[in-house]
Amino acid sequence: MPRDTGVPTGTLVMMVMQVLRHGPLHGYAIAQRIHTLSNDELRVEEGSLYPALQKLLLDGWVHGTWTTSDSGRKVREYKLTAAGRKQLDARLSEYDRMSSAVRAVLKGAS
Amino acid sequence: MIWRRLLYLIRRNKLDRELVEEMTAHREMMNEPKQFGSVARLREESSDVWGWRWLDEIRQDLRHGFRVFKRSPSFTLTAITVLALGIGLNLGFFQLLNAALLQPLRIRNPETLVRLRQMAQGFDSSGVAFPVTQFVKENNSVLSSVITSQTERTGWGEDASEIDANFVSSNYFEELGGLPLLGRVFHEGEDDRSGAAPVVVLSYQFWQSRMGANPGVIGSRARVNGRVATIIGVTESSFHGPRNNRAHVWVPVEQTELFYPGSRFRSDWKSTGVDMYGRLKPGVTVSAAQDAIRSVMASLVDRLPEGIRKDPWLAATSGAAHFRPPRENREISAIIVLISSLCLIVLVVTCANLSSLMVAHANARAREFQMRAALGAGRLRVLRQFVTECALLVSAGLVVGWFVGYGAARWIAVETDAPLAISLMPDWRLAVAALSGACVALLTVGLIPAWRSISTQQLTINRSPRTGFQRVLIGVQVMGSCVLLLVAAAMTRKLQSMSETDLGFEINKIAVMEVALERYGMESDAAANYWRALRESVNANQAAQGVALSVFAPLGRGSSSSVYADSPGLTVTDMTVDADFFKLLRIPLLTGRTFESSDTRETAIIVSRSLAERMYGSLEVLGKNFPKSGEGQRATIIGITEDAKLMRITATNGAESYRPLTPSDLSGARLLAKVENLNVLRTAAHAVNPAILPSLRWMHGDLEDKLQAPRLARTAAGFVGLLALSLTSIGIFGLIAYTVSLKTREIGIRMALGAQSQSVLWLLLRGLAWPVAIGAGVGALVVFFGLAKPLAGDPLYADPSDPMTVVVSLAVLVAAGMIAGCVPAVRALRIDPSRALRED
Repeated sequence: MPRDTGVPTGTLVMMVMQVLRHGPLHGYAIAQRIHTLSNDELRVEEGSLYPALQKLLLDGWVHGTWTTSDSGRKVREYKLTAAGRKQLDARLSEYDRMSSAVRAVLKGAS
Repeated sequence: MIWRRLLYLIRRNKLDRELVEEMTAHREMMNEPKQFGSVARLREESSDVWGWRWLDEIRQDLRHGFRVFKRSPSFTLTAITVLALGIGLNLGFFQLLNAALLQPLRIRNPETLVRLRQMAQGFDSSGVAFPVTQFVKENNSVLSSVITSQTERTGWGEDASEIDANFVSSNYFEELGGLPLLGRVFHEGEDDRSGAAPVVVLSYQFWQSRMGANPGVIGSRARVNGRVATIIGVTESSFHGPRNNRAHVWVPVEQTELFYPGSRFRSDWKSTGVDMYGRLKPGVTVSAAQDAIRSVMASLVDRLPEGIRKDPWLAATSGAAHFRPPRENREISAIIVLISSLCLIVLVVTCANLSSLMVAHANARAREFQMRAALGAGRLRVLRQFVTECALLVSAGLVVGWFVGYGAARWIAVETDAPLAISLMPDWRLAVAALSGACVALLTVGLIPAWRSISTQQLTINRSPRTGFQRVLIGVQVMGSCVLLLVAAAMTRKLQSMSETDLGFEINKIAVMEVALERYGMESDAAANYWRALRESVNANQAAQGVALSVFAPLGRGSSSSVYADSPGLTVTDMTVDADFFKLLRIPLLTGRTFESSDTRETAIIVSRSLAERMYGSLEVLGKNFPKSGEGQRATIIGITEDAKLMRITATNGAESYRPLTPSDLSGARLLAKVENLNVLRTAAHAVNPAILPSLRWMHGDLEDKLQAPRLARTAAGFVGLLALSLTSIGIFGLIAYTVSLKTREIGIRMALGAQSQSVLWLLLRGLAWPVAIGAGVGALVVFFGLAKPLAGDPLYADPSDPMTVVVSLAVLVAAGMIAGCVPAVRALRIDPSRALRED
């Protein structure tokens, strides 16, 4: 798994899936989206996206198809599958539960 | 998920290409491509996700292993040869063992079939009298059928060439599952009326070798013992009856009289020559059947002959145990223990040898291992590399060994003239044996040296000469060689002592003539007349120098023996002979006299020296009763002879008793004669009665037959012993050569300072003294305490503690070790000090 991404483990996969929820994108576009959405806060090593995408492909949560990009390059577009969508929902709710719990503890302890 | 993973494995190259393409495109689109990270590393991480990294690593290890072996072909070849021999021998022996003892008999439902032997107080015979079999068949409630079988030498064809005819009950094939290849086999109730057409079934092998495999023989006529019979079928090649018998042809026992007119065989209560089998009724156990038959036998007592009237019964042994009685099973397991421990020792020796070879090889590759460690390879990775290489070697050794083993088993099977029914086809037992052998080899050859070299290599920068482990290995090899040599030497010694003079009787130019007179219905008077005429006819010939009659021919197939309560542990061969027997075979009479015509079984007996000494404690036994304590009529001892190994030539616990031949024995007697050639007897027999076909052979041939198995065992043990010895020598040679290479500098300095060559030799060889001494000592102890019992027992009777045996074996062992060690050491003495000092 990516070594030094500056992103908590597991969240990268979640972010990628979330970004893909609104429609298929290729690798570079996914990286751009994450950049923009995080207000340049997450300085991800962009290449580490690819091991995560391979994992998603292997698990069958995304589906890849080769197309030509706007700039005329051959790129692979990733699309969230139905199983992936279900997985994403499960993970998001789990993440919400966990983070609100953590937040509550941190608040109470301060 | 698993399927997708497999799919990824298959399409890995394509996926990898796509990934690289994708990442390159991404990188080119970026403003700051540096932000992307290393494509090579990320590509590796991505393919890690696919989960096939271990496969890549194994492939790397294998490739590396192959490269290493290619670089040192002589090492590889040696290692594979050593392994192939070690594993191969084990597999070969196991294959034979498996075929002969473990695989179920190839007959129908052997587990519900029992063999029945005639027993009585003081009586034990492998066979039963034919009327007894029929009586039991009619009167028992535990057997659903009774099968009988008896083999006779008989004449075949117009020229009456000798073959084995098996007279069997007509349910024989049906019960044992023997199917015809051509025609038909017997079925229940073959025609036995006089005047019926005699029938004969051929064995597959006989049909092949004698009838040219001609399918047209069915329905044709052939002469069996001079009578015309119709060939009705040929059996399948895999059918050999219940005891791997090698009969050439089968004849229904119901038709005995058609082949031997006047035969009283089927009503003769005396002869116990029939193999009897019974099929258990469902739910009846072997011991229940035995008990039930025992009570049936009780009602027979009056009709049985003298010797077996006291508590007669039939001992039942199950087909599941190959019809072996418990005693035989114990003997066999002793042999199995012996052979398998020898095989295991060979494996240990080869593994120790290879192990030291691997250590040397690893030492030579120390630089490579250090380099790999320096480049960040973990210990486990290096260990795995090592083990992978060993696995390669072991697999190659296993494959070659499989063939070596098959070859060895084949050779032994052919040499021993093993029953045709033995199947050497590999089965699961063999596969398990092969794999476990390979695992042992892998563990000892691969893991131990690997672990050792890794744990020392990484620590020691300067390679200090450590040969402790190798010395232990040498000790192990010496131990193994010592065991094998001792065993081989003991067997050789035993064979040597089995020469003619040691048998205690003359066999040179002694011919044996067998005539089944009882088969022709010739009893008492007729038989006596026949023998008298024959004797006269033979004696009239210049080329004959003596004739005698005996119920059993010495060294022949049939025999009878007893064990007496007064001389426990002594197996007494019971002979029934005429007075000329002793003179003809030159068995010296110590005191007393031989038989006279007035002697009978009940009044006179001659005993051998051992029997007298063991039963009475002295040779002063003339006139005493025999046996010492016994009930009923006892014979008087009239003479003592020297011991003669008439039947059990290897046994050390044997003795003989001789009873006089009486008229009732004549129909079953054999004629022994000292003649120049067999034709003397043949013409004499023809002159007396041309209708009776005798079977003739030299006693020498019988001795050869009996010696064949021990000779083969000796050859095999000797071969294995030499093999172990040469492996050990190679090991010692290697170790000393290695020590020389480590100490070149030291030797140079010592010699420059004027050291004597003896002291330099001692410097090199002293490391060897302990391993050889301890190895030989432990080996000798293993033989004396572990193997002495199976070696000394039936059928080897070899004594490994015989001083000559021990001295010769140890001398050979030490001499071989010395030579192997001295060759490289002496070469070291010729080192030029000035050059040695300049060397690294």
